[in-house]
Amino acid sequence: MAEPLLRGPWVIGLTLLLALVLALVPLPAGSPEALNFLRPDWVGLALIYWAIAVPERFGVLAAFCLGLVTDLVLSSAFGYHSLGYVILAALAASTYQQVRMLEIWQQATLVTVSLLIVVLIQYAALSVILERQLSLLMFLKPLSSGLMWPWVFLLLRLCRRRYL
Amino acid sequence: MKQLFLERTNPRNQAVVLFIVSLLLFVIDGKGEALNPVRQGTGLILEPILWLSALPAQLIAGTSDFFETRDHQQATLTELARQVRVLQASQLKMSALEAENARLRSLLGSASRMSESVLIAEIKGLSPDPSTHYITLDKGRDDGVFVGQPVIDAAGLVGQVVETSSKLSKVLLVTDQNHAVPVLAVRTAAQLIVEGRGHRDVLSLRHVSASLDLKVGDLLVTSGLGQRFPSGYPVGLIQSYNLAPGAAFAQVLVEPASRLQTLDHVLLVFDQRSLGEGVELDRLAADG
Repeated sequence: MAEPLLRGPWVIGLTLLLALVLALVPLPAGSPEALNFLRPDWVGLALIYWAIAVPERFGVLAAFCLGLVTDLVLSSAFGYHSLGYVILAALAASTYQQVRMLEIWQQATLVTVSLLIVVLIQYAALSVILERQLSLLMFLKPLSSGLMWPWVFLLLRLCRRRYL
Repeated sequence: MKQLFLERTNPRNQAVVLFIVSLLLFVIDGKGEALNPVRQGTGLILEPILWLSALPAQLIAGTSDFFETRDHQQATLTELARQVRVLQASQLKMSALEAENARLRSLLGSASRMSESVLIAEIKGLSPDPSTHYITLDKGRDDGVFVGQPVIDAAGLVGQVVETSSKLSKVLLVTDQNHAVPVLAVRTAAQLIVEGRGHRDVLSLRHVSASLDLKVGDLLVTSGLGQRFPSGYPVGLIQSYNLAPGAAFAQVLVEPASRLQTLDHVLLVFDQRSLGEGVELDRLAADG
């Protein structure tokens, strides 16, 4: 196979940018608002992939910065996303060797559980600190994200093998 | 090879530190406004992302326009022309009334109401997070949009601009849990505050004392107090009034006047004050 001209870490940035765009794309007009609860955490999924595939390049600090950018893009309070993403990256940094060995469906289960932790942190932060009233439908997000993991994984692995 | 196993920073310690930093930022930004200038300054990074995210909807709208039949377009045109005639007729009466109102007000010795002009904006995006309610508009600082600007639709108050970049602006809706607006009950002239509850179809009134004369169906309009919203725009109708025995405040729910569920275009309101700040008049469709 011919060597692609542009190899480098830019592919990480590009996929994260794509995830941010996907997180922001509005639902088609007229669709029920509740569908937003089913929107997978694209940024979280991409973060988990890179933190497990290239932990030496994508660590806790990168996850923190990504969380802040996500907060900026989604207009959430600064720190809202980085709270959870820092934990995700720390989990990935200590378990990436084992996680790489798992079957893809086992990974999907693990991803669901770790994103559930993220949503729990976010739920606690919003309801305790900002005293917001929240819908429990928030907890659907990890499930839809877990279902998307195999596809995200395959796509990002292709990107990594080609361009990184 | 010894260096390979020497970790410079333990990711776990780093994570603990950054978690605490995140928590601090969250409290500061969630509770106060100290970090708002940071958000204002980063519009440049945001713009391409917003633009990309609005692309799919734009493509869909573009293709559906393309495939619209000639008959359908003809019908829309006829209907629009009819509406323009009706509106022009009522406008005739309106300007006479406005002049009369100004004359009466000057007789009474009170300041005449400032006339307002509006700018039509298209909705580019909706908040993907159901717990916050905002919309993104296709007009920005280049068009004279400013932070705090009121936004309305044909039926009533929609919200206010909270962030602007050169081409886009973000509008917090009246239904957001962080939004409150001073209002006036038209029937009794009671001054109240309407706040969002985080649901698209209902608002509530804050601190309604039990002795206040309010009933279901009362119209609430912006009172103009607080200097943010011009007075007189409908905010909502009282939907239910509940006074628990012994409670100091009644629980009053309000149905929003604007059609927040099916918005596609909104109007940005400019009053005389903001027009003085360098907005080109010819770009604005004067409404009065």
